[in-house]
Amino acid sequence: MSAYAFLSPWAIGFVGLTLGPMLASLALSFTDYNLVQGADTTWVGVDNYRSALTEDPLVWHSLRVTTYYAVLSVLLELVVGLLLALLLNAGFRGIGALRTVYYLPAVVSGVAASLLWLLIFQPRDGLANAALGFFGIDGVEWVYSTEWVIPAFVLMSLWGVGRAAFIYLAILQGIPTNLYEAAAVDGAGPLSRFTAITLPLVTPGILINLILATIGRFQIFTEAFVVSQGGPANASLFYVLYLYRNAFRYFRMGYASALGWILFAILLALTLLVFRSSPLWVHYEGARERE
Amino acid sequence: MLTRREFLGRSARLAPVAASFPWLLAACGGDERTAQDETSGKAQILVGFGTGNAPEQIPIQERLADAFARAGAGGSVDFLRIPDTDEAQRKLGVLIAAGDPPNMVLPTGLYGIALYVDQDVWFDLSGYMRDDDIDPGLFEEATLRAARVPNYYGADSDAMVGIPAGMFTHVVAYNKELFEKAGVPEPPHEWGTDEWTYDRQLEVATSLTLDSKGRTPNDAGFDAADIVQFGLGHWDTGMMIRGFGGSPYDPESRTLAFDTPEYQAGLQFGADLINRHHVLANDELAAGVAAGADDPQLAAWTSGKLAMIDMCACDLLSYGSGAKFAWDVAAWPGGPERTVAHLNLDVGSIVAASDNHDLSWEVLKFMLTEPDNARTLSVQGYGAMSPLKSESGKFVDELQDRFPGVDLQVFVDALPFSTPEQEEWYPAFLEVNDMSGQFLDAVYQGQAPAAERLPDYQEAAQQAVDKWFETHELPQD
Repeated sequence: MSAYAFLSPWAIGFVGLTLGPMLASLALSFTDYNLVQGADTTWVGVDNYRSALTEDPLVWHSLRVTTYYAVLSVLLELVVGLLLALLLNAGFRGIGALRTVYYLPAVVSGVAASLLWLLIFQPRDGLANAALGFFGIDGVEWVYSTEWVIPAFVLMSLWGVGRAAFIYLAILQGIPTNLYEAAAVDGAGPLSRFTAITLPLVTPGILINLILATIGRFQIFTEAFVVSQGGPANASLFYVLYLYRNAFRYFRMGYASALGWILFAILLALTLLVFRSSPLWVHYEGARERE
Repeated sequence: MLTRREFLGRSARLAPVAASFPWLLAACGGDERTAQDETSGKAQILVGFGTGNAPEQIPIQERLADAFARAGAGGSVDFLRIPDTDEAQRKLGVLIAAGDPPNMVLPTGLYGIALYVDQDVWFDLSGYMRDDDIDPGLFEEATLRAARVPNYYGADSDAMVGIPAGMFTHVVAYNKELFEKAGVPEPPHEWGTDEWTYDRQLEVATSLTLDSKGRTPNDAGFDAADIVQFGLGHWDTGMMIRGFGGSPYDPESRTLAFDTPEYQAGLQFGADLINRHHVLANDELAAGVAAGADDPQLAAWTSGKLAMIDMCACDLLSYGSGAKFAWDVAAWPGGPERTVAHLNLDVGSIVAASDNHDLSWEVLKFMLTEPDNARTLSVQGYGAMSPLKSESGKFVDELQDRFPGVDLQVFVDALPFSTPEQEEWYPAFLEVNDMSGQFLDAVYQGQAPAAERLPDYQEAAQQAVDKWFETHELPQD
C-alpha cells in the first residue's frame, strides 16, 4: 500500500494533467468546440476527422512537409549521432570537455537556438552563406526560399544531435574490448571490426534513437514558429504548426483536437512498425533477438 | 492491497472525472470573478492589441484611470498588460474560454476587431450610444464607419463594436539629404496632385537607388545584388492595389475579388518595385543594407539607407525620433484609379462575455468621448490623432515641438484620402489572410507573376468564404 502512496503524486499528476486532458481532447475532437464560443458546442461525430482527411488540403500538405523533414533529419541524426559517438568514445585529452560541449545544445532553450539559427541562415550576412562562399559556392536564400527552407530546418535539427550521440556512447562504452581483440587476432581490419562488432551491437541504440527522433521530428513546432511561421508559401507548414494555427488562431479546438489524434495514430503506427521490424535488424548480445 | 490490474481499472474509471477538471476549474473561476466584480466595481482593460504598453504610454493611461476613479462614477479601472500583440490576441480567447475575460480591450486596431467580430466577442455599443445621447457625428467619418464593421453588420446598421480611440494616417517620409545629394526635387506635401503618381514615385525612387559603385538601376552595369541605398523601403505595397482600384471583397455579392484586372495590376506593380525595378527594400533587402538590427527597416531608415518610406503617425516616435538627418513628410502618390493611403484606427471595445457592461461603458465614455481625456489618451497615450472631429487638428500643435521642421499638417491633410479598408473584416478573415502567404509569397519574391497565382488564391479563398457562410449567418440576414 505504501508503494501506491508514494506513487500517488505522479499518478494524480498523470491522470489530472495528462490522461484527463487527453481524454478531454478525444471527446472534443467529436465536437465543433470553438474556444470563444464554447456554449454553442455541438456533437459532430467524425466530421472533423472526415474533413481533415478528405476536405482540407493543408492537412495533407503539412503531412508531406513534415514527412519530408522527418525522413531527412532522422536519417541524418542517426548517422551523424553515431559518427559523433565514435569520436567521443575515443580516448584523447579534453574528451570530457568535448562531450560536455556536444551535450550543451540539449539544455539550451529552443527559442534562443532558433533565433541563433535564423541569424546563421540570413542570406546576406549569415554564417551559412559565408561558409559556402569560403569554398566558392554561391549562397542560397535558406529560410526565405521554398526550396531550401526544409533543408535549413534539417540542418538546424543537427543542433540536438548530442542527445542521440550520448545514447550511442553509453552502448559503445559497454562493448567488451575482448571482442575487438579477438577480431584483431583473426585479422579483422578497422572497417570489418566496425561492421561486424560495433554496428550490430549499437542497433539497440539505433532503435531507441529512431523511435525518439521520429516522434520528435513529427512534432516539430518551436523552430518553425520562431523562424518561418510556416512560410514562405507554406513550404514549412509543419503539421503541429497547422494544428496550433487551428487551435489558437482560428480557435477551432474540436478540429485541432482531431488533428492531434490523427497525428497520434500516425506516430503510433510508425512506432509499432519500427518495433515489429526490430527483430529483423536489432541485435542483442551480438545476435539477432530471435536467433 | 490493490493489484496492478485493479489499480489501472480504477484509474480508467476516474479518468473521465479528471478530464472534466479543466472545465470545472474554468467554470469555478468564472463564477468567482463575477461575484468579485459586482461588489468591487472594478473594470479590467486588456492592453496589448498593438500599442499601449510602451513605458511612456503607461502613465498616461493610469492617470486617466485614476481620474475616472476620482470622478465618482462608482468604479475603478485596472489593466491587464500583455506586451506581445499575438499573445494578447490569443490570451483574450483563452480568458473567454476560461470564463475570466477582461471587461474591455483598449486600444484594439481594426485587425483585432476583425479577428473576433464573427465570434460575437464584441459587445454592440449602439444601445449605450443612444441611451446616453452620444452623437456619432462627434467622430471622424472614416473612424465611425470602421467601428461599425459594415461588411458584417451591414452598411445601414448602427451597430458599433468600439468607440474610436485613436487614428493614424500614413504619409511618405523622405530623407531630405539624399534628395538634395541626388539633385532630385522633393515630393509634394499636397495630397491629390496630378504630378505625384506611382509612376513618378518610381522614377524618383530609381534615381535614389544606388549600388556600391554609385550606379542607379537605369545605369549600365547596375548590380542588383549589391545595392547599398534604396529609393523606397518600409512600404505598403498592398495599399497600391487599392490605388489601382482593386478591392478584395464585395459585400453585395459576398465574393472575394482577388483575380480582377485591377487587383492583379496593383499586386504586380508592388512586386515589380522589388524584383524588376529593384527600388524597394523588403525586410530581407533592408537587412542587407543595415545588418544586425531587430527591425531591419527601422535600421535602414535611421542609418540613411532609405530615401522614402511609408510613415504611419504611429511611426513618429520610432522612425521619426530615430532619424539623425534632415527629413520631412509628403503626400502618398496617386494610383491610376485613386489617391489612397492607409488609415490605422484604434477603438475601445467591451468584451461581450464579461460582466458589468455598464461600468465598462462609463469607462469608455469617460476616456474616449470627453474631449480633453480623449485627446490626452490618443495623442499622448498612443501617439495618435484624436478621432474626435473637435480634437484631431490639435495633433500638430501637440507634436510640432518634438519634430521641428517636419510638416506634420500632411498627416492631418491625409484624412480625406485615408481608408481603413485594408483591415476591414470579410468572412473567413483569418484563414484568407493566412492564405495570402501561401499564394502570394512567390509573387513578392519574383518567382511567379501575379496573373499566375491570383486565380488559385481566388479559388481557395472563395471556398473558405463559402464554407464560412455554410456555418454562419450575418446579423444583417
